[in-house]
Amino acid sequence: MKFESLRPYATRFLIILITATFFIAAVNEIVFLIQKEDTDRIPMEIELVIPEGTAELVALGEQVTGIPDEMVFVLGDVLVVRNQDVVSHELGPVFVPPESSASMRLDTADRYALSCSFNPSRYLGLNVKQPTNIWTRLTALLFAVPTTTIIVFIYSLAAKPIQQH
Amino acid sequence: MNGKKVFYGSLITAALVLIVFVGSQFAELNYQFQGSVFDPAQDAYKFELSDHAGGTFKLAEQNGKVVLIFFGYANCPDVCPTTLAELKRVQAALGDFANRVEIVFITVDPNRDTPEEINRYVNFFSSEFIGLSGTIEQLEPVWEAYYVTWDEAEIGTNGDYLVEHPSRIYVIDPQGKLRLTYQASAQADTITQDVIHLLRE
Repeated sequence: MKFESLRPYATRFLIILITATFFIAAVNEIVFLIQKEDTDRIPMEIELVIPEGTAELVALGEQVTGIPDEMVFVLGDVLVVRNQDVVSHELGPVFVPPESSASMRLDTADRYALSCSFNPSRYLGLNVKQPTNIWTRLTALLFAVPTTTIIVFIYSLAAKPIQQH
Repeated sequence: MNGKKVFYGSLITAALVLIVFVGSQFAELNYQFQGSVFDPAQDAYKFELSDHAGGTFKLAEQNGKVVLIFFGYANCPDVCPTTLAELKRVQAALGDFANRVEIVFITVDPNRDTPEEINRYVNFFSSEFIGLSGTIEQLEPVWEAYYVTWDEAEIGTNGDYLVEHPSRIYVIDPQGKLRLTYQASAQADTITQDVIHLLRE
């Protein structure tokens, strides 16, 4: 088979490839804009402050202002725990001496229930999410475009065969 | 012609080496510790305690080395043996770096953990580990400086007891600063990577 006879196929394939790329990219971005969440961002440093007197409040079973029951993070975030209390505190693997700070990088996306010395429930939920960023969207494009192109190309050959002169 | 090929070949090789070098330096600069990081690093409390071999271990003499400290006791049924086993894996994984790392076990049960008992215990895991003991008066300032609290809980009627203690590994950098802590459940490869980074800083 000569190249000339393949040219109409290649042309049609290229047209479908370009159209599919634009179409999928457009759908991708529209869906992203509609479903975008606060956690679709680049990783950052997030600070959690343990106020002075926290240990006393926890011993009394009272909730401490500013300490949530669950925190949501993005993969790669760094959690900085600032301990303004007079005793040391722990949040899972993070150990913070009094009037000091400690940090931990969150490098695995998952839901955690960590033992926590500054919450009356003794636990703090950490939800580490995989963010949807430009790279995840490009990966989606990389998977979707070739398969869509091949399917549409095969369908087009059945629906409108190329006439050989 | 051959000279040109050699020239361009050398140029490309040099460029590749430069890219790899800059890339590795950049990765090292952006290294994120996997343990809990003290921010800022604190001066580690410099203690002197009797070691398992009958000598004296002085933290102040360990400058230039990374020191891993774990507080526990020889009769511990769970956390201490598993942690020391993991620290043995760290020691093995460190390879050539191991001679710049000291792994230190400090007792929270000085009544039972005599130097002989500590010697028997740490040698069970590794002859390179350092087991430290002392009197309560010698140990108390060390426990306090490293935020170690403990409590005895009796079991049975024969006087046996367990000691509740923190299960935390402390990491002191070559400059004598307290830099990192890990839970005892930390994996050896995690600790090893951080320790190697501290030695390269």
